[in-house]
Amino acid sequence: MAAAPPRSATRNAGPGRHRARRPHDTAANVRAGLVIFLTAFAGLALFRSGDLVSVTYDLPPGESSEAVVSVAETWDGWMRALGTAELGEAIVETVGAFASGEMFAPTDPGEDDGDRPGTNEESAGEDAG
Amino acid sequence: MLFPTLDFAVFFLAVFALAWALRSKPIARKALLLFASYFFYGYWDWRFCFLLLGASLIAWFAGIALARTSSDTPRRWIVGIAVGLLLVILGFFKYFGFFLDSLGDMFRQLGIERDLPLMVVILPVGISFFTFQAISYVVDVYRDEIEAQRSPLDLLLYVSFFPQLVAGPIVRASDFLPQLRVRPRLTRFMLSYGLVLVVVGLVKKMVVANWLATHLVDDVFLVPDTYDTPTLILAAYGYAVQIYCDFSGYSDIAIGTAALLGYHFRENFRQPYRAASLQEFWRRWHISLSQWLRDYLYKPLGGSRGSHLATYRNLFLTMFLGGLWHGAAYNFVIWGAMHGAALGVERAVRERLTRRPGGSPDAAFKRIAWGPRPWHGHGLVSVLAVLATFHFVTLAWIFFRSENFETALAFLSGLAAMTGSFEAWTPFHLVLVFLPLAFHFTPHDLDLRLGRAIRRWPTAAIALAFAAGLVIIQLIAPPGTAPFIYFQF
Repeated sequence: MAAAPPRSATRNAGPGRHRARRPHDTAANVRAGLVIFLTAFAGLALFRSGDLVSVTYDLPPGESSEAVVSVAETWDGWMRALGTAELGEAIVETVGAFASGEMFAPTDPGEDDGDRPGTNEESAGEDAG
Repeated sequence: MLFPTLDFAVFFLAVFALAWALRSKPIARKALLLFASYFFYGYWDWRFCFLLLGASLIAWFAGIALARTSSDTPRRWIVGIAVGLLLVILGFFKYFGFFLDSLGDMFRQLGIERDLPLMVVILPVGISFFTFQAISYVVDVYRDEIEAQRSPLDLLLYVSFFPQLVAGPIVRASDFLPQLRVRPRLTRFMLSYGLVLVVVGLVKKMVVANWLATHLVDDVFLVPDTYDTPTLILAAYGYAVQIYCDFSGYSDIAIGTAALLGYHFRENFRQPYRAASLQEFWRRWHISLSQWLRDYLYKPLGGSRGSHLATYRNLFLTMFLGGLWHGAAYNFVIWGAMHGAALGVERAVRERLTRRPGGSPDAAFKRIAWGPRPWHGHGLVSVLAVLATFHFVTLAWIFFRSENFETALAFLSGLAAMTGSFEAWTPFHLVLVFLPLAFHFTPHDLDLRLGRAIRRWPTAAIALAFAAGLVIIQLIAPPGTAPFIYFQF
């Protein structure tokens, strides 16, 4: 009877398992790290392309900076056409509404915007006075 | 350069790629990391780099001098001069402005009008942290706990290594220098654990701490007398959570980035708000600073070797000076004094309980009396002890956070007034405050477990998860980048 392969070998065999076989291979892990970081950059560029444009506006003035700004703006335009930038902005607005309580508060156009919940009205009034 | 910025992301990507490309050339790799660390620090103000270099060179020369001297008296002189110089530099930048203001006030009170020299001293970012590391190196060499470094490169890198440079953790030379002597490696676990810590740290800082700061804490602590009691309570809890997430978030990112570069740092926070006593709290909060204060201040003062009274004095002095270290202001002094006094009382109670005539203390009191114990599984007394410790720490944070003593008193008066409603306790605030507190009662090694689980994933899955994590953090964080609280210290 043929001897069964070691359990660890069978566990690590198969597609998607090749990394687990060499967990201490520094070069492979560094390459994996670079792939991970570049993917993260790509993700941010997809959903936060507006931020990319803002960052390029802070670059020191010059021809190369203008070229970078132009590339960033073009990219942002593409992402808006694709809808990813708008999706990101919609999430930001939803979180903002949750944070400010607008999501739960009944809409009352006549309400005074100056009143903050939790303020001591008498003290606030004294301060204002 | 702040961690949660595009600048740092680009910088780190370059350092990561180059450092690992130079893996087989140790001197070149260390030189690269040293250059990167000075670039990172000089990004705030390049002049600060000279200060960093000066502190490192003082420590290096002192180490060499100590290695060449065997008799006691000259060694004491060397360590005294080196530590004194480092403390003078730290003291000048931290306290010169306060000293000048106090001198001016004193002259005015005495009716003497004097034009004091006008000098605005900018506090270099993270000066305390690299000074403390330099001091610990000199003292450890003096105590023969480590060998003096012949290579200035290793020591310069130890003092300036960018992940922990500006807000800790305070890394011991005995932990870090041996790592520079071996060929670095990046295991699959280090990669996944480092990424987990970076994401966890960013969530703590960018989402929890920044929302709490901009949406609750900063407003309330600015004018506490205009807020009602429930809002003040929420702000006090909010600040306890904010400072924890801000500071431990920085530590997580620092430990994570160091792991990605192949270096191991010890944990700096261990679910501090689940502590059942103040002694336990200080074993869980900013562990590297607590240990630094213990080894380089409390023990040299005599520690617990003398009489009971001397031990209480040493405890009080250590915490008092720890408070003063945060800044020359009454609120920090009161914060330190509160902790020092309470630690003394806690110790006295513990000693009294353990010496009770007629046998050992009640099992319930043992848990408080004998320091750290798991919070769970011990019934009501442990739960009450955790709640009491948390509320004492939160009360002390009010002094720590307030701009001045008057603001702290106004805050406390508002708390005592017991007026108002719970209208300000919105679901958003409750999630921000109580979810991080709830995480204190999960297994303490959750990040390690996550790192171990993720390392088995294919690279593409890790990449997508990491990218999704960063994108979500960016989307749900408030706009802008707030500096870390501990940069000012």
